[in-house]
Amino acid sequence: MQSRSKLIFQVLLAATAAVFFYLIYFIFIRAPIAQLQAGGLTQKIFYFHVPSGYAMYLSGAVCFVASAIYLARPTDKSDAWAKAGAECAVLFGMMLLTSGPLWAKKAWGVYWTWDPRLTTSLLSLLVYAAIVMLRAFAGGGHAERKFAAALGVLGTVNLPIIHYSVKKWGGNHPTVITSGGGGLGHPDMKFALGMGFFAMTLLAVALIWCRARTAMLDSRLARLQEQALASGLTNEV
Amino acid sequence: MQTQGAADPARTFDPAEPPAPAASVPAAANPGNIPEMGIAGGKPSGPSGKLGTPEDRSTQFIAVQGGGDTTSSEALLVSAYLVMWALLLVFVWFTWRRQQKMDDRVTDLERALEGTRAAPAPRES
Repeated sequence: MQSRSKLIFQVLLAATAAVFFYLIYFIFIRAPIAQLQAGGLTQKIFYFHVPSGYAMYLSGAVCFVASAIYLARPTDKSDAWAKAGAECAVLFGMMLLTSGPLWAKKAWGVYWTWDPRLTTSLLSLLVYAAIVMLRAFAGGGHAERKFAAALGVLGTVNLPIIHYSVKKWGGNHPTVITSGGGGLGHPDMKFALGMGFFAMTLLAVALIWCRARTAMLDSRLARLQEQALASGLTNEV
Repeated sequence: MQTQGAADPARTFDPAEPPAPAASVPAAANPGNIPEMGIAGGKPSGPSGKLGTPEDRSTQFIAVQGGGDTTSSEALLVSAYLVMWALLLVFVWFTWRRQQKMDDRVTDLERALEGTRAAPAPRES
């Protein structure tokens, strides 16, 4: 990593850590407890749960753009960003789908229902998991990369469906955000959610950047190994 | 927020309805007046129409609205945050370890390749 980009990355990490510390303090000390029907104390999961979903959208969007660029003009860089986007979408999707059921247990009485938003979110997570699995086990050849890129473009189609599923098909899932944010009854609740979005944006940027660097390093390593083999350095390879 | 599924009217607890006669559930057996399994709102629940017989308790369970919620909010909240942070930290740990390994490997290979280029070509006799 270049020294300038390394410095920017370190500043980004420090800012992310500072924002997260403040966010956790604010959620647990300052933000009020919601009504019992919304889960009472467990409603505080909301301030990480919703931003996790947003971070999954963000990572999915990065995967979509980079995959589309790769399909148009294949480069190691666009492939690395597409792979990084898919990996981070899996992480944030898992955070979303583990925190949600724990809140639902209190608010709905069950961990899981086949609600439209829950089902479409699970579908998206499985699509991104499929991309990660494909890249991990099928190798890094051009055909595999192209197939993963196509999946990255097609998988993103589901993201707007998740967002509008509650409006279109109803279900149990709350709509405090999609109804214009009017469901948050206290200014501290709105602030905590805003901070959550900001913190998750910083985290998503840092993680996608980091994973993209790893993927580019992987491509560079593969080229060096080919060169080493061509030079007769079989022991070192 | 809605709850999952509509409640069966036959099983719905009606607070206005008077409790079951004391003779059906002995006070000594239920001192806290807690609804028993198999008794929804004090109505006869078993197929036989008898209340709280050992046969009813061992052969069926009936949902009671407003039954004690044993899931602790604190435990769920802490579990959710622990799981999310654990996932994140594991992801960061694997990323960091993989980058370290790859950085070392790239450095080694580059050094080896430079050494090959710098070395004089073997003379042909």
